[in-house]
Amino acid sequence: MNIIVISIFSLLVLSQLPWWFVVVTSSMVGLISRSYLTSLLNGFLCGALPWLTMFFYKFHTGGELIITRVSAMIGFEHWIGAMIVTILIGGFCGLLGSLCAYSFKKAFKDQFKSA
Amino acid sequence: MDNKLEQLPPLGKFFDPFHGYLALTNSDKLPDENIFLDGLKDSVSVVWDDRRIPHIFANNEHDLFYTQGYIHAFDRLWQMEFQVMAAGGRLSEIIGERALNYDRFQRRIGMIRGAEGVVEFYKEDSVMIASLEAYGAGINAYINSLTPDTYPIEYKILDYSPEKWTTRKCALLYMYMAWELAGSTNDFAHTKFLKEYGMTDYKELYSFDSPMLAPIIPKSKKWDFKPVETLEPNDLYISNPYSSNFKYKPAKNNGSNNFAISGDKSSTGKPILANDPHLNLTLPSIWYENHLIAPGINAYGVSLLGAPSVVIGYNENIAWGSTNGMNDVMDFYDITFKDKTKKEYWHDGEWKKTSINIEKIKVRYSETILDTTLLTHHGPIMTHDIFNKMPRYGSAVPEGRAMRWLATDPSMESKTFYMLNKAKNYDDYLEAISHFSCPGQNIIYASKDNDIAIWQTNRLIPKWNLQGRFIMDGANPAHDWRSPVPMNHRPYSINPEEGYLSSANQKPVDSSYPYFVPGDYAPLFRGTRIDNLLSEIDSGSYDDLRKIQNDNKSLLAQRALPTMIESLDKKSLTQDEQSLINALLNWDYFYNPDSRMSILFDVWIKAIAKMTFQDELGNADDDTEWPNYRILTDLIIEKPNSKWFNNINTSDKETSVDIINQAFKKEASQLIDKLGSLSDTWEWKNSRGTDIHHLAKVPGLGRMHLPTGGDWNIPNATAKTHGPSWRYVVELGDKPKGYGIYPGGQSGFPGSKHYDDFVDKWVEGELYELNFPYNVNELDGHTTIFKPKDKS
Repeated sequence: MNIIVISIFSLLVLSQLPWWFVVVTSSMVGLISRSYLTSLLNGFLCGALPWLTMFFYKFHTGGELIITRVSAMIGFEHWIGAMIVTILIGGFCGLLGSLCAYSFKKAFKDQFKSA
Repeated sequence: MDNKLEQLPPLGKFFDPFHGYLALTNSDKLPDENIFLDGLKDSVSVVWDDRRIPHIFANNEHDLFYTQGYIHAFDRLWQMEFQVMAAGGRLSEIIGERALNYDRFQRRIGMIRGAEGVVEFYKEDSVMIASLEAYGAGINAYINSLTPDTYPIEYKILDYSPEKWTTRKCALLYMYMAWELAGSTNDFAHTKFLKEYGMTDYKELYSFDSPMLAPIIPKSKKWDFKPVETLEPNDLYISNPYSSNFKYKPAKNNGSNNFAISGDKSSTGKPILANDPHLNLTLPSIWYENHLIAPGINAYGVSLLGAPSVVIGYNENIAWGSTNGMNDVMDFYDITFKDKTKKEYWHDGEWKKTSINIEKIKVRYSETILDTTLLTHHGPIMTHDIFNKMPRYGSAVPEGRAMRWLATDPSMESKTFYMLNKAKNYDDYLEAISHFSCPGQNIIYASKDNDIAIWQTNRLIPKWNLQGRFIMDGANPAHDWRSPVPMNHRPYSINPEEGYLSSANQKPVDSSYPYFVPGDYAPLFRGTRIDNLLSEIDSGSYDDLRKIQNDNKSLLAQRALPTMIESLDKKSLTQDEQSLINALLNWDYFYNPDSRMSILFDVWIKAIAKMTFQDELGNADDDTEWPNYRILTDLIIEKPNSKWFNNINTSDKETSVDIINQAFKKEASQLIDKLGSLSDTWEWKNSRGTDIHHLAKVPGLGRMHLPTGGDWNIPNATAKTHGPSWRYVVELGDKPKGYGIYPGGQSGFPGSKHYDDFVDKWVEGELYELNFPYNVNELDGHTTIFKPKDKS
């Protein structure tokens, strides 16, 4: 549920912010993750989902041809190639943001406990 | 991911679906009904027809060219800027150090110096400078409307931004065309040959004169003027043929066809004109189709992106078209410097001072470079520093080579097109072409007044026989260029008795012409075929001329193949080889898309050329030029025992028969191995075909494996990556009827259906009927009103 809420939030703000802001929005999910693994997974989804949603919106509103050509540019015969790259880049950025946030949270939490 | 990594786009920025390439979705949508712009004087109506051709209706010339600039930028901004960045040696600013040597080369040959000279020249012509500035203002109005999200996709791939357009960029565009069409040299190759083999062999292998030559100017033409005298030196100067080190060369085989028939030979009773310039084929195309209407102008045709007016097209009264003159307008001089400082050089019995030109080359991700070019009165020294890797010879005195290139002399090619757009008759045409200098063009003309004419517009320098074919003596004033000949001494013809005119890059005149006209002309096959077809026309229509544009018959094959087949040792042929010969015997010499024998003849004749000349001359490259196919066929047919057929690396004495047999055996077996038995794979469209790459060769943005016919020596001069870049035919009359097509589309956005929507029909050899409305209400289509901002 958190992932969906954060993804919708990202979708709303990313149109007004630079591409790397997906790292910042995805970091929110890192703060509420319970392990490294879940922070990685959640972060990937929080980065990839808004990018993928926008990708499909563009695809269905006139972008199919340019998506197909960009896929060919990066060596794929099908438009799915561009989609995969979009998911991977968005997801990777989200993953980084989430992982950083989780590590940050954990570091403070451990420090607090030891104190 | 925010920055480019070598050849990759900045991945994060580029694939971001909010701001990256997907932000351009639907960016090809035509402008709204009303656009308000600073700089317009009055409202301008633009009607886009169903092929996205803008018909621009303006009330004055300023607004016409302003809007043309805006629309060119709207559809092709990246292309127009990239072309002039490349021409001006500024690619290092975009792609970094990889382009540095290329940029240095462009600076040294004088692209920027030449463009600046042209701009100064234009400043003295208030009408022309006004048109160029209006055009630039329109481009800048469009650039100002952009945000980083809406930059064309190539800016996003290469990760840079558009910059303000200037008049100098228009001048650079013409320098770029001069380089593409008149930027090649074979002086080094010819000098090397002369040094090794002497003048008799040179004349045998490199002459363009032939009894078969059908020159551009009909042989019946009489030259009734006293030619300007030339100052021929007593001795032939032979330079040392060290390497040219010319790494950067314009595309090979740039050429074109144009032809016109008089009213006497047409079904309409008025002339019909056709033109197809053969250039490197790219997406976006080099051309943009548009229609310009304002008081005094009603011109339709294609424009170059980055300059106002129509370059090839027609108006209510006349039509014109262009082919490359192939003139040799680039010469080289040996220079002897006084000492290593290179501040003085020897000329006409005295030491003359050199000057220097220093240019700043900005390099992305690196420091700005200062590049120095030494200048003599001949031109820039091209053989020092990065271009000076040749061995020293003879003397300890440093030597260099200066380049004299006509394109760097100021001239006003843009004015020619501006005036042709407005021309009403032959006198206007003459006045227009008088401003054209370089690249030399054969500009053909037809009018509704029933005139047809052709002029070679090259600013012709009077030269003694063979002057400039070899590297010259930079110290001897007899080798200097002199003032151009008067215009009425240039090759031309008007209303010839034959009833038609044509040009196909062949030598323009026969030996009766009183001047030496050096050039790198096309062999005569294409021109002769066109003349043959035109002579057969009696009551011709536009479709007859369109068919000539698409004619695929090879006179080279027709001339050479019977002797080649006859020379074969039939007893030594395998069954597969014999079946190939049987197919060749039934071949009609047409390079049609489905022809299976074109590929065999093509590789066979190429192998014969290689086996004939490679052993003596070396590989055909920058410093070695093999004789053309007309010479080769002459040798095969008339001189089968010529020494050139002998392979100097064997003890035997080979003749043409040996070479022909060896070449056939080798190539036939290779083709059978590669293509299998005779089947679809042998068809010319599959074995050769055509690829149209993206202008910057970005993968995926071109159109590959197009099923074309034709070849370079054929009227349909479609080659692998090269060919008819704009085919058009116009029937003159009370209201002209035009037909045309180019292999591309109007939009430069690869996500637009108009990016390449003309390509398939171009492959078929078809033409679109062109809309030519006289007023805005005559045409249905999307209409945009461009209005002055202060009237909003």
